[in-house]
Amino acid sequence: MANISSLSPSYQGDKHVPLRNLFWRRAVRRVLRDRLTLMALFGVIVLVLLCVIGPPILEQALNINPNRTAVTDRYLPPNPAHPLGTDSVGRDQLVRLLYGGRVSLAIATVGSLLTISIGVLSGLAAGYYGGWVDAVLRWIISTLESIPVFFLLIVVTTIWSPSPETLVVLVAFLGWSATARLVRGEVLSLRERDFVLAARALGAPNWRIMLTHLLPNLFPIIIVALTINAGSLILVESGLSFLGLGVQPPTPTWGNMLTDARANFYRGTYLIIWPGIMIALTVLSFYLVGDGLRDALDPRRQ
Amino acid sequence: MYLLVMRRLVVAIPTLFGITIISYLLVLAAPGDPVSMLAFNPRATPEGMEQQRRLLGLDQPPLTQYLYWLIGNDFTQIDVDADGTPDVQGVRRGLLRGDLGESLTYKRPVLDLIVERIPATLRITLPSFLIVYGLGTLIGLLSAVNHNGWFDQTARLLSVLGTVVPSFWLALILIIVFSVQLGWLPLTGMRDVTSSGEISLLEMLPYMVLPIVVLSFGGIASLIRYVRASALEVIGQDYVRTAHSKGLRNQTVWGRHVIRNALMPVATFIGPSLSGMLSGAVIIETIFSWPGMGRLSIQAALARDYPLVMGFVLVGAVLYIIGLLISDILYGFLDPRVRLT
Repeated sequence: MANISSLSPSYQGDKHVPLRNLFWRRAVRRVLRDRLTLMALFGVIVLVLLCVIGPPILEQALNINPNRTAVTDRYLPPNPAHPLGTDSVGRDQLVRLLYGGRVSLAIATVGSLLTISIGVLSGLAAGYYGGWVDAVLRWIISTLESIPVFFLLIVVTTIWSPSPETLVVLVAFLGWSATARLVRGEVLSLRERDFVLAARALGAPNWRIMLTHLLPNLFPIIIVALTINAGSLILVESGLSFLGLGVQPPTPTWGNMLTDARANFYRGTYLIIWPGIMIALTVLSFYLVGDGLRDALDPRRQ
Repeated sequence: MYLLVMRRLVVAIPTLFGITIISYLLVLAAPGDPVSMLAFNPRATPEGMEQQRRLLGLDQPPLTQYLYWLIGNDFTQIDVDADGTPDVQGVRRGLLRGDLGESLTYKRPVLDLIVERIPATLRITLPSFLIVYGLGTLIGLLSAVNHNGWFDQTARLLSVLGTVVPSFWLALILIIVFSVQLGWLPLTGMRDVTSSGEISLLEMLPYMVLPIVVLSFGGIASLIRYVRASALEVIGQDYVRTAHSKGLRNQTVWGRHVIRNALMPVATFIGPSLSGMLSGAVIIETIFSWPGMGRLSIQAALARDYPLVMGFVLVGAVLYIIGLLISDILYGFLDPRVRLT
């Protein structure tokens, strides 16, 4: 419907805008009209702000040290001094939850960026060059995808005991295949289009066609893939950390906070509820934003 | 049909080859080799360890080692004492003949350890699989029939929840509610496969409920979305409109034209969803102390039992490829066009 309304007289201002900008303007307009996506976007921003600037403020306000262990404060139920209670060694759960969020969000963001970069580069090369490059890539993808991803993750985390940094690299190297497949498919249809032919007729080298003509056309699917991927990486990271194979304590993540709580769940369900809610809310926000962006950036799908 | 199966098997060969390469690279990346563990044995001498290395072919160049790892070295004579004359027959049988090495913690062949855990894993994955496909297709189809109605909205909410709620957290919550608070179901833990005595299905059932529920919940979410989208696409096709306009009853249109065509892409989903289920089982089995493959893989990982962990990659991949084959055959049944080409 957006296409019809944008042809109406009220949108004549678009006429002098270059075509590429027009596309992004329309996308932004579609997002602004989509209330659910806006709410989810707001959710992501609030979560990031809470985790980035929340902890120091809270520490000041409540006079808490996140790493201070206190035997006398073990398993305190929620109270004014510790709004979400304390864990098995007396650390404040709220502050740890926010610090854990920092780690989880950072891994998800950086991991997603890296995953998508690998996927886009390989998909672009395979789709553009075709031939043996494509054959090799398809072979690698089908091989990677035939191993249940958790088994593979278990092996690599056993061999390279992960710090947050190595974990990012490991999940990226194992998770790029879906993006590569997506990008490859898109490039296969893009490279047959007239603007590619025109560029080639003007003597543009391959790298230039790929970077300045094909890559900008891939941005819509790249942005969507980035968001959806960040959401699923939160789940993967928390799952691994929960099993004790991801980020190691005492660095808190939502996953390993649950490991701790699981061993003592009879002591306090409040230790289990919150990390899970944080994970679900974060994944939900990313998921909804990705879904909304897909609708906004790819009007053909509607 | 026979041709179809044969062709799929041939197509699987390069993938299997790729899997052996990845696994072998991981074997190389893992610290130490089977013999270096002997260093903890006070009676092991450096010379003895060297002999053992030569016997296993670990002194060979990487490519030869890969071949030994793949097909074994029992067809070669080995010069164990390095005096220039070969004197012993090799002992390794190689991956292709089921020799995945020996577990460091259990001191038993890796393949045996994994295979004896498969039944326990199937006991929770198979029912989940049936629930996911039975209930998932039903809800997905009803959701498409009821497009944008209340049932559709509820189903979509359910599928979003199944995607975003981490399974291990759901499992913990269910344990707290049903096992701790209400006391309806046992807490965790089935008897180990290694323990003696048969356990009857009836006795096992209460232990199976929660793992199956949690495992199904995640799988059903993506299937509902998939079936729904597929059915909605079919409804928009011209042949469905034709069927309606030539006066067929609604049930006939759905039964003969929509459902069959909508379910065809679903058959291709079986392979990936099997893989997802095996991954899910790792977490579920660990939480519920279920004596299957998944829990063993985590125990092996935490104990740094490299050969055993590596075995799971291979067994998991083989299971996945079997699943893919089944889904291809099913696709052939549903879509005659695939059979004929």
